[in-house]
Amino acid sequence: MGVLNELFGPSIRLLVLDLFLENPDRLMNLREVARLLGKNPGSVSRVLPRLVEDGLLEQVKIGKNIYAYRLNLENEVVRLLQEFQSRLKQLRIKEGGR
Amino acid sequence: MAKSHEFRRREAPILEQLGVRVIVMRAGTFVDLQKSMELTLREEVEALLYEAGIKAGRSSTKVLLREWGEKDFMRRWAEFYSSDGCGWFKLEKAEVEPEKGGVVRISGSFIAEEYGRSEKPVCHFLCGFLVGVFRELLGVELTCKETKCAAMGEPYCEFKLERYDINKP
Repeated sequence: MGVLNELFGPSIRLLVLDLFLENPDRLMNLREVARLLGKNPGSVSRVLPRLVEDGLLEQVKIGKNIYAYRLNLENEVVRLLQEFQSRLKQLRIKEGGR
Repeated sequence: MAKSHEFRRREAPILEQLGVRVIVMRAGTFVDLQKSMELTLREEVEALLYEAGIKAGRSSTKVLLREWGEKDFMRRWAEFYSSDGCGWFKLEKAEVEPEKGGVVRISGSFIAEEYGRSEKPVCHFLCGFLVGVFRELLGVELTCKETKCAAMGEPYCEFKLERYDINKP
């Protein structure tokens, strides 16, 4: 479970976003995302378009009617989320070390 | 004078069918619930209803298979969910194969008819429900997309089921 989902979820949208934040350079198709999250592809397909629409993910055409997705590193909100995620992880490690 | 509403307690107010507790609910109540959730949870609701549908489809099919067996199951299933039974929809076509999936067409979806006009499909619960039903019947992993919806002005709702391998990307 990713930090955003842990903090603000549970939510399928946040699970998907967390997965891409954890794998910032990875291009993944719908079924791969679903498999990694242990969800039915039909559940993931309902939240992916909005993440693309919001500019958080990029949709890349990789074949006829086949698309893959990756984190939109050009988006300022994404960069803030990456920073937030990283600082939150550091905080967790600190707290865990006490 | 204002009307008074009296409630008298009666014995055994529980309704059972095939050994399972059932309730009778106004179709609009389900849609009110869906629409209320959509106001705050947006597309998350679509995924939630889809997942709830899978669970409901699997559970109810287990009960029905136990009761009826596999022989002639689809005909009895279609009657059960039609106006002769639960009134959820009328099954128009169901061609689903374990190797690749297939298509299910229904008319009179209680969700689409109660929802009102929409620019996108609205039967997320039924979409998941069909995944759950055919998961139990065929024993394979399926995913489903509503390709036509009566709420969008189509004469029926159509669902495309596709098989997928849980271990392959």
